[in-house]
Amino acid sequence: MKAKTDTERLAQQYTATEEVILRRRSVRLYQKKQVPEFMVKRILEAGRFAPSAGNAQPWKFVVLRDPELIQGITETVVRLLKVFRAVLDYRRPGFFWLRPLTELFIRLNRYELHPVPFGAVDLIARGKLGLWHGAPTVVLIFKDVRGVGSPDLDCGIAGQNMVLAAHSMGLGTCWVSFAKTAFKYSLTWKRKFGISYPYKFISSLAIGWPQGSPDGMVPRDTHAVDWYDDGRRTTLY
Amino acid sequence: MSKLGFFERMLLPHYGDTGQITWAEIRVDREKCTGCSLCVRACPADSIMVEDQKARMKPREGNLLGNPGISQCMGCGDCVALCPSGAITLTAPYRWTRFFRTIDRGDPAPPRI
Repeated sequence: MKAKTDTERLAQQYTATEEVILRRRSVRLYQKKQVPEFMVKRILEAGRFAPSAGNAQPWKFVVLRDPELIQGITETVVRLLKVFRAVLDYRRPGFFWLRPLTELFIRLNRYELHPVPFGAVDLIARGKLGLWHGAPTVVLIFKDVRGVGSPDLDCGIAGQNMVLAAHSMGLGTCWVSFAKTAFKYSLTWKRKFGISYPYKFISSLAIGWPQGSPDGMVPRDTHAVDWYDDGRRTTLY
Repeated sequence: MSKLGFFERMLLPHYGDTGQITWAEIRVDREKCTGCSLCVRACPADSIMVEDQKARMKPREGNLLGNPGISQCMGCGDCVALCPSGAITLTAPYRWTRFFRTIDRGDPAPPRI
């Protein structure tokens, strides 16, 4: 009988894990206060215990807690994004002739040059959007390209484990993939961190104490789910 | 499952035509808003501004790079969750046309139990 009451209770309230998942929002306003070392280490443990294809664990984490390093990478990224913007943005007055060239680039690289990330390129280059939003701790995630199947996905799973662990401790996080430019189009930081084959930059996490209380449940798009049951198909939203 | 037509798949978006995107929309309750500008600082799309001590969304029409620029709200909901006085609500979803046309979506909803 006990099992049934447990299920009944479950139907009325979320579990602690679900609460963390549903309430988690990307945090883009951090306090200056540093995150205690033991908490970051525990977050890394959550990443270490993530599932991966063939148990290959194809990831490498780099923790940055020196403000100079974080600032240095940010400056490199801003400089590179300014160059991209100058080369690709034909919307500025007098630059209409750039348009065919930009459209060719978009066709060759349609996802990375999607208008939305390009909008963010513009905001970061103009200093209206910070890279890591002033977070005191940054975790860089690199993949080992020799991982089984899709190491990108494994790094994503490990990263999400870390993000959820951090939010369960009351910390805020934000996925930041724009830092990729500093490792893809510049040698400075690859040399500085000793990054070479087989490691490749995947994404990074900003971790810190949020300003205000940004976690909470908000409306989200619903997605059509095809549900096959009893030999029929229904579509759920 | 929805399908994309051949011509839709051929039509990649470009930066000049903002008509291919329907930006999400927020509504700010002017009675509750205290003008603390937390939302302005947190917005990743630079879509909110403070005018007369009250937050408001940047215009949906106009010049992207003009002053104050147009809203590029992606409906992430960060401002909704962050607002200490609960003055912000999301009112319209974020939709695409052409190559990136948003398919297989329903209306936005908060978490359902």
